[in-house]
Amino acid sequence: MASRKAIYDAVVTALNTSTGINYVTIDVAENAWSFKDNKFPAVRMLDGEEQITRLAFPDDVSEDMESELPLEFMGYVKKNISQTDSIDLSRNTLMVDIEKALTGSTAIDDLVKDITPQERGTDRGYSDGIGWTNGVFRVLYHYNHLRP
Amino acid sequence: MAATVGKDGKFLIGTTGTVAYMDTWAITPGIDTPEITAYGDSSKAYGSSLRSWAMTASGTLDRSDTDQADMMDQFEDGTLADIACRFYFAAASYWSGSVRLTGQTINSQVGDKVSISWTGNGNGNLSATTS
Repeated sequence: MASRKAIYDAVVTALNTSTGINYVTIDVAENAWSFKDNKFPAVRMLDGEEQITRLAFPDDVSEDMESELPLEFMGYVKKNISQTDSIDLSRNTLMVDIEKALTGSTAIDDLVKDITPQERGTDRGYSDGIGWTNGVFRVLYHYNHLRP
Repeated sequence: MAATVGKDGKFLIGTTGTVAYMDTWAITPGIDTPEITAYGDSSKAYGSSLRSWAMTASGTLDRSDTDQADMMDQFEDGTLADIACRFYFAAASYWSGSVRLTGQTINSQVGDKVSISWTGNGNGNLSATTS
């Protein structure tokens, strides 16, 4: 049965499984500039403002609610001396890795009706060797009003 | 008595077959009113003759639901027949009657759920049951 937490957990697992991502955090207070070098590329996941509507008359259906959950992420890359890739290329590669991880996960697919990228920004800033990117995935899922 | 809200509703075929994933139903009763204006009348006059009613029900497609399948079957290779319908507006309060289905619409859009709807005409009286 889908739930907000189950989806969020599956998203974090899928990102952690990606070989192109070395660190995943859901902590908004964690400072990317204090990450150790081996944690890059890193991703911070944030759940956005959820829009919920009734899907069906609740009698006799297991999923009577429909939710659109925006999953927002920030991606961080860092350039070090041994790297030949530019920050821009690293950001783009991270963006692709995130999308592959989320749209290719069977565990996420089992929980949601649809997951699609909604916004992507590959060049959101650069400071002290760290470049960052961000984006939003639209997740559509159904659940029971008694088991949110 | 309290105000009625849609979430307490449901759409049934037969007496127990709750059609799954329905989110809307509507019934539209009407009465034919033939004009009976006579010579000398100063205004038009109408009488009442036959009652009639029509219905719609819609929701999300679930081909595995037997009650949805029974409705769809009429438009595929099933026997055309009346369907006994109940339109609940509260836990034990509903309108009921026999329906001759007249149409079915299935709508699929990428990025959204697949919707299904039916239209039909009442075949006989519409009855009300309230608790």
